[in-house]
Amino acid sequence: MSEAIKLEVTEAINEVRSSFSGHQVDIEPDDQGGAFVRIHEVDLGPTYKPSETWVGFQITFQYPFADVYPHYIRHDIARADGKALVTPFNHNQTFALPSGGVSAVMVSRSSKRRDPVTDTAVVKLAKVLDWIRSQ
Amino acid sequence: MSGLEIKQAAIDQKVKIEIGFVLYPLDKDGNLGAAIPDNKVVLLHDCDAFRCVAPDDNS
Repeated sequence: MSEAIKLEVTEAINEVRSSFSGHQVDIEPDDQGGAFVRIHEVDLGPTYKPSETWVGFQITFQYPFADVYPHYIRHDIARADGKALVTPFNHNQTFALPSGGVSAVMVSRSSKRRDPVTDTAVVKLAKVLDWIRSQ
Repeated sequence: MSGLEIKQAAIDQKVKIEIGFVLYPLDKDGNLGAAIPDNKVVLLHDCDAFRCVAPDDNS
């Protein structure tokens, strides 16, 4: 039997929608109380080509006591200077949406010292995007 | 104040963060702004709010 999206996950989704107002944000329940989130037309800056991507992640039913990790971006992303994307970028991955997997590059940035009160899904997303843009 | 000075001021007031944490401003709706680097100077106003979190690791 599938579980409805938990209140804590819904609140995290609302926080993402608020911070990314003006962006298309797709939500798919994972049927365990969590949800998959996909935000479109996110700018990664001039370091990347193309510079715009979608960003996807799963907020699991354990949220806020589990990290929101990893994140996924478009599969054809590359550095504009031609250098290779190296760890924690992982090529040939799939963002496994219930409606169908999407080819992706996975970005593995874990929050080993996360605080469930302050390290919300949108804070984690901001940190991941800041890190990608700063490479 | 710089981002570093804001964090130091919070630590001096017993806020449980570390100087290496990442500092974000919050707007009036509680949404995150762009991270404030240690060396960036920002003009502060009454009721300004921030969120400061531990940095991530590659995994």
